[in-house]
Amino acid sequence: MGLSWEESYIGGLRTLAGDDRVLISVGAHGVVRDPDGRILLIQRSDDRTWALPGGTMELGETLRECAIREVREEAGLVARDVTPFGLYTRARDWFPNPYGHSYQYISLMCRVDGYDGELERVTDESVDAGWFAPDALPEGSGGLVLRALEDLAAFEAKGTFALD
Amino acid sequence: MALSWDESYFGQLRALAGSGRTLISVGSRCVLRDDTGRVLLVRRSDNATWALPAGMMELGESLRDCAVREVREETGLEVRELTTFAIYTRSPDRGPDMYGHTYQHITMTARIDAYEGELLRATDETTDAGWFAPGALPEPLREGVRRTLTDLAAFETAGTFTLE
Repeated sequence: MGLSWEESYIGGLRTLAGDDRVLISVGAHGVVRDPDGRILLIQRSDDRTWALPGGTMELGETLRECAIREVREEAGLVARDVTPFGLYTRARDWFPNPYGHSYQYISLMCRVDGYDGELERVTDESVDAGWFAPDALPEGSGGLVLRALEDLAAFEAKGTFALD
Repeated sequence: MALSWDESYFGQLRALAGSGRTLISVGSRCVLRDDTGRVLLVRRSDNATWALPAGMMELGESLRDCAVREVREETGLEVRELTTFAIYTRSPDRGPDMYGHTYQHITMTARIDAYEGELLRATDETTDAGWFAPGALPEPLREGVRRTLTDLAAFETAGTFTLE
């Protein structure tokens, strides 16, 4: 069970800053693959898009811990280790979210290297979850998914870290 | 000419949040070397320590943009290419900074692979600058410089990317 919005670091910041100010939000996403190379996506409860597990960091945790926590909270899986392959920082996602708030998202993109546990299809933050082949992603997959898969492929082929 | 603290994103966030709250900050730190492997350090005007060129990001810029801007503002040099080798995200165990403020710094750390221009020995943010052999660094040295150079050496000898 994650913190409520009001209890979270970014929720507290939003309360201080008001609705209109663009805030910098820091977080992490995890790319989890099954033995067949299929990608784990969750269907988010807030906007129903299919997305990589991910979210915003809390004070006191590291970004590695944030990636691991988000995968656990949104999919029930416990990552054994993660390898960073990208850091997305550009203001390209700078438009209001369903709550009318705008953020410049900073996200550490991590490959999940091994996990324990069973996939939970429904959590506090998701209404469905599943494994998808990279060439057969579900309708409503966010652009972040495609970008992450491209950057992960480049990382695995050439060792290129994606700073964007 | 750089933004003043009051005009900057994190300066404004600090004003909204008050002095007592720990904030998550985001920024870049850069390692520049000359042909003989000496490292560029600047002497900060705020606390007189010798430090790597670094600073916090502004809304709308990427962390790559932030790295380029901080090197320009603090050294006059123009970065052409960089490689990310470490991301520091861990919560500090030390207390507040010289202004009485506490941050959890998220720091993208890059090796500068190509740069142009002439080194400025003094800027709005620095009182001196120079090239130093890694084994003969000046004092007082800012916290984190040695750690950063150690992590760069691990990256260059073993390909180890630091996520901490």
